[in-house]
Amino acid sequence: MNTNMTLKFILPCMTVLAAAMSQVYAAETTASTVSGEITPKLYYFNYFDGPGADLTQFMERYSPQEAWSGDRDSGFYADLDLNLTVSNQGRDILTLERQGFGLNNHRGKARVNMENLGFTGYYSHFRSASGGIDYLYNPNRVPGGTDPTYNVPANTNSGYVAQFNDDSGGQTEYKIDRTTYGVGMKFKPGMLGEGTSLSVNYDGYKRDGNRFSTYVAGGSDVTGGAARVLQRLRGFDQDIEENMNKFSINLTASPGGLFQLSYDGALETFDNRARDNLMGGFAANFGGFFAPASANKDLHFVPDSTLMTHAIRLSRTFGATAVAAGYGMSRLEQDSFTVRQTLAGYTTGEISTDNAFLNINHRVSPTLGLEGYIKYANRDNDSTFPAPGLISATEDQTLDVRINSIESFSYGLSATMRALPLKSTLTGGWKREDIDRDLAWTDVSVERGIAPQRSLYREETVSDEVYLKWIARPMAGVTLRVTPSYLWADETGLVTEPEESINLKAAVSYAATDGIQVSGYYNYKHRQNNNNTFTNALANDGLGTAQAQDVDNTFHSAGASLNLTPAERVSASVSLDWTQNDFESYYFSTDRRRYEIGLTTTNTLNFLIRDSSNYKIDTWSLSLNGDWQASDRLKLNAGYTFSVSEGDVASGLIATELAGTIDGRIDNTLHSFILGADYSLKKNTTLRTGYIYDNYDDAVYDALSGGVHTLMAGVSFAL
Amino acid sequence: MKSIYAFALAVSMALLSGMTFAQDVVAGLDSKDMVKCYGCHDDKEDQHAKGSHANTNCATCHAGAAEHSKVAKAKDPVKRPQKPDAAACLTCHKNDAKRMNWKFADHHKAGLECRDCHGLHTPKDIKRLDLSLWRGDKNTALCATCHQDVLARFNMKSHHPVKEGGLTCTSCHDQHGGKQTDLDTKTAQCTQCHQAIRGPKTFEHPPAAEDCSNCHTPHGSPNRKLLNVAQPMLCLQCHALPGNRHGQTGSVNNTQRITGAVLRECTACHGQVHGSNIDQHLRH
Repeated sequence: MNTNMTLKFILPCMTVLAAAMSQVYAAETTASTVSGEITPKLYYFNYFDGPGADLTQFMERYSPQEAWSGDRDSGFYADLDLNLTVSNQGRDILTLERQGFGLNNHRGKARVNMENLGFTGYYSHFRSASGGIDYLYNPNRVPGGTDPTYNVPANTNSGYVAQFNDDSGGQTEYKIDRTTYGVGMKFKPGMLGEGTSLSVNYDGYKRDGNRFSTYVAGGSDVTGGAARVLQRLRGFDQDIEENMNKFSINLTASPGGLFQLSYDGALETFDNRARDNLMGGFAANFGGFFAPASANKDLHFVPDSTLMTHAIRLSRTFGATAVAAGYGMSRLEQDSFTVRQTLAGYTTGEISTDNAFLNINHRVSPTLGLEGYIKYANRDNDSTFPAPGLISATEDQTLDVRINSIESFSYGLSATMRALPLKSTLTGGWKREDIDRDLAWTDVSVERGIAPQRSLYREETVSDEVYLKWIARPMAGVTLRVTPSYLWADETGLVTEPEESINLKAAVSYAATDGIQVSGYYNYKHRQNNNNTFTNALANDGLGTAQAQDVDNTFHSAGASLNLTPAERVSASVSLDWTQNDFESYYFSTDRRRYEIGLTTTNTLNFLIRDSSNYKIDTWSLSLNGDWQASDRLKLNAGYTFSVSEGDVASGLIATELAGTIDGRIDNTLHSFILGADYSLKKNTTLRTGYIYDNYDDAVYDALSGGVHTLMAGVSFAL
Repeated sequence: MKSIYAFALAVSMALLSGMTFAQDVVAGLDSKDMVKCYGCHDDKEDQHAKGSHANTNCATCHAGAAEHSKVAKAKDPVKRPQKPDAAACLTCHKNDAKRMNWKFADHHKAGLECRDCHGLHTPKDIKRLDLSLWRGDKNTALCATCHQDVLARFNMKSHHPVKEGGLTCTSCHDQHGGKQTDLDTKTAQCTQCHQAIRGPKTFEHPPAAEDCSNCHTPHGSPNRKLLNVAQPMLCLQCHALPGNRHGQTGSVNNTQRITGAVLRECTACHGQVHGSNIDQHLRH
C-alpha cells in the first residue's frame, strides 16, 4: 500500500472510527466489557518445482506469499490476527477484526454500534498473479503456439500465425494488487424517527500491477515487404493502475406506517491512471514494417467512466398479501476517449438502463399461497453513432452489429401448497421471458458490412419455463428438496440461450441428534439449441443452403457428505463431489470474412460445417477433515482436499489439430493437506501451529506443476 | 417508455388497493417478563447475556411464550412456544432495505428461516471444519455448510479466490434478495468489481454486453479464465472461421487446414473480447 493511499483513505477512515469510538465511550456510560483475541503469527513458506524463479508458480496465482526480504520463493513473514469486542449490557458497541496472511493478503473491519448511530470501516488487500499464468500460455512459451507452416512469405493474410513478437522487454512477472476500502455511517431510527434510517457510505478500490496482453495488428498496420506479416502477432506488458471511488446513500423509511420505502443512490467514478499503450510506442520493434498512420491506435484501451445509479423500492404487507415494487436506473458515461475516437468525433459513450419489478404474494389459506411477478429491463446505447472514420463502411473499421437497445419483460405465476403429506411444501410455477433487441446492421445493398443473415445473433428471445419445487421434511432431521424445470423457447437471440432446457436439482440431508449429518445432491441440466441459422436470404452470395448451429450441452454434478462425531472429543467430515460438462456444437468455416461480401461486391461467401466437436471434462473432488481434542490443553486438526479435472476440450478435426499443443486436453490434479495443533499454554494463552502442503500437477503442461510448503506458528492471547 | 408508465400505474394501483387490508399479521405479539422465563430456562440466560437481543423480551420472538408460561406441563409439545420464524424477526428488522423483500427472496423460497444462518441469541458460531477455507471469510464457511456443490467448484483449477480470502460469497450474492427483486442488469453484478471491462465500448461483443454468464461460470471451472467451455469450442458455437484469415494458406476457400496455433486460443489475437473502442475485430 503506498503512502498516498494511506494518507487519502486509511487515515481518514481511522480518524472517523477513532472519533466514533470516543463518542461511544462518552455516550455509553454503562459498564462495558472487552473480549477477544489477538494472535501474532510467524510464517515460513517454500515454493518448489514450477516454471522457474523468474516466472509465476501456479500456486502463486491467488494470494502469493512473499518473504520480508522480498523473496518470492521462500522465506519468513509475520502477521497478526485480531478479534476484539467491546460490549455493554445492551449491545456490542465496538468490534475490531483483522485477518492477515502476509503482505499480499490481509483484511480488517471495524464497527461501532451506538444507540442512534453506527459506523463501519473496512479494508482488504489481495494480490493475484493469474496474469503470470497467462504469460506462461503465450504463443512463444507453449508447443504449437505458433506455426511455421503458415507459409510466409507467400501467405500475407494469415501468415501472422507463424511468429509471435514479445514486446514486454523481458518482463516475466505479472501480478495485480487490489486494495479495497470503505467507511459508512448510519443514522438509526432513534435519531430520525420510528421506521427511518439513513446510511451514508464511501467505498473504493485501487488496482495496481501489470498483465501480459496480446493482440494482432491489422493488415494495414504493417507495410513493406511480404515478411511484414510476421510482425502482426504481438504481446506487451500492460500497466494496470485503476481507482474507483463510490459515494452512496440509503434511506429507509415507513411514511405514516403505510409501507416500507427504500431509496439507494450512488455516484461512482472509475479512473484509469495507467499509461496509454499506443501502437506507435512499439514501432521500433516492428523490424521496419510499421505503418506510421497506425501510430495513434490505442492498444487495449480502458476508458475512465462515471456511473450514476438510483433505486427506489416499496413494500407492504396487507394482511395476507405482500406487495413489493421497485424501480432502478443507471447511467454509465465514458469520460476519456482514444485518439481515434476523438478524431472521428466520437465524443459520447453512454449506456443507460432502467429496471423495475412488481411482486405480489397472497396467502389464500394457511395451506395455499399464490404469487405473481413482473420484471422489466431496458438497456439503451446512447453513444455516438454513426462516427465517420470509426464506424464507417468506407474506413478501416466498419459496423458489425450495434446494439441500440435491449428491452426485456419477464413475468410469472406460482402457487405454493403447504402441509402436504410428508410435511412437504410444493410450489408449481410458470414464467416467461421476452427480450426484444433493437440492432443496427449494415445495409449491404449500399456498403460493406455484416448482414444479419451472416450472424447467429437475433433480435428476439421468447421463452417459457415451468417448474416445480418440492421441499419435504418426512421425519425428524430429514429434508428433501427436488426442483425440476422445463424451458422451451420459440426464439433465441444467442445460441448460448437454450431452445430447450431440462433441469433437475435434488438434495437430501439428514441430521441426527447425535451429531451425525449426511447429505447428498444431484444436479442435471441439459440445454440444446438448433434454432439459429446462417440463412440464404441474400442474393448474389453463393450460399447454398441454410446452415443451422446445433449446440447441445449436458451438465451433471453430484456429491455426498458425512459429518460425524465418532467420539466425544472427535469430529470428522468427508465429502465427495463430481461434475461433468459435456458440450457439443458444429465447427463452421467460411471462405472469407463475413463483412467482405454484399451486393456492392461480387464476392461469395460459403458456410461449411467442418465437423461436430465435443468438449467433455470430468472433475472429482474429495475432502477429508477432522479435529481431535486430544486433551484439555491440546487440540489437533487435519484436512486433505483432492481435486482432479480430466478430459478433452474438443474431438474430431479440432482435437487432431490441437494434439500438437498443450491446449487439447485438461488433466490436472490439486492436492492440499493441512495439519494443525493448538496447545493451551495457560488460561488465556494458546499456541497455534499449522503446516499446509499444496501441490498442483499438470499432466499436459508439466512446466506448471509445482507446490508450496507453508508453516505457521502463532500465539493467541485472549482478552 | 409506455411500458414504464403502465408498470408504474400497476404498482400504484397495487399499493393503493391494499389500503383497506388488515394490518401486518405478525403485529401484536404478547410480551412476557424474561426473568420469569429464565426461572426455568436458566440455560438460555447466558445465551441472551449480550448482543442486540439481550434486552428483548422472550415473547417478542417466541410466539406463544405467554400461554406457555401458564401451563403446568411446560414440556407439553403442543404448548411449547414457537421458534422464531422470519416473520417474527422481521417485526423488528423490517426497517432494513436489505431485508424488506425477504418474502420474495430465493432463500425464503427455499424454505429457510433467519435462524438457519443467524445466531438468534448470540452471533452464530461457524465451525470451519473444512480446513481448506483457512484463509476464507467466516461468511464463506457458513454458506459452504449448505452449498456443497458450489464449494466443490472452488477446488477447480480456475476459480474466484473465495477460499483464499480475496472475496466472499456475499461480495456477489445478496443472501436476503432474489432474482425477482433485483434492480441490476445481468452484467452489473460482475462489473461492480471488473469496471475495466464494462466500457462503454464502441464495438461491443453482444454476448459480453448482454450477460457475462454467456461465456463465464463464476465459481470455478476446469478451464482457464472461468470459461464455461474451453476455447475454441466456446467461440466456435457462434463464429465461423474464415479461411482467408485463419487458414494455413490464407487463400479464399472454406476447406483449407486451420491448425492448432489458431484454434488453441482465439483471444491470443482477439484480445479485446469484451469489446473494443477502436477495432471491429476486437483485436486491440
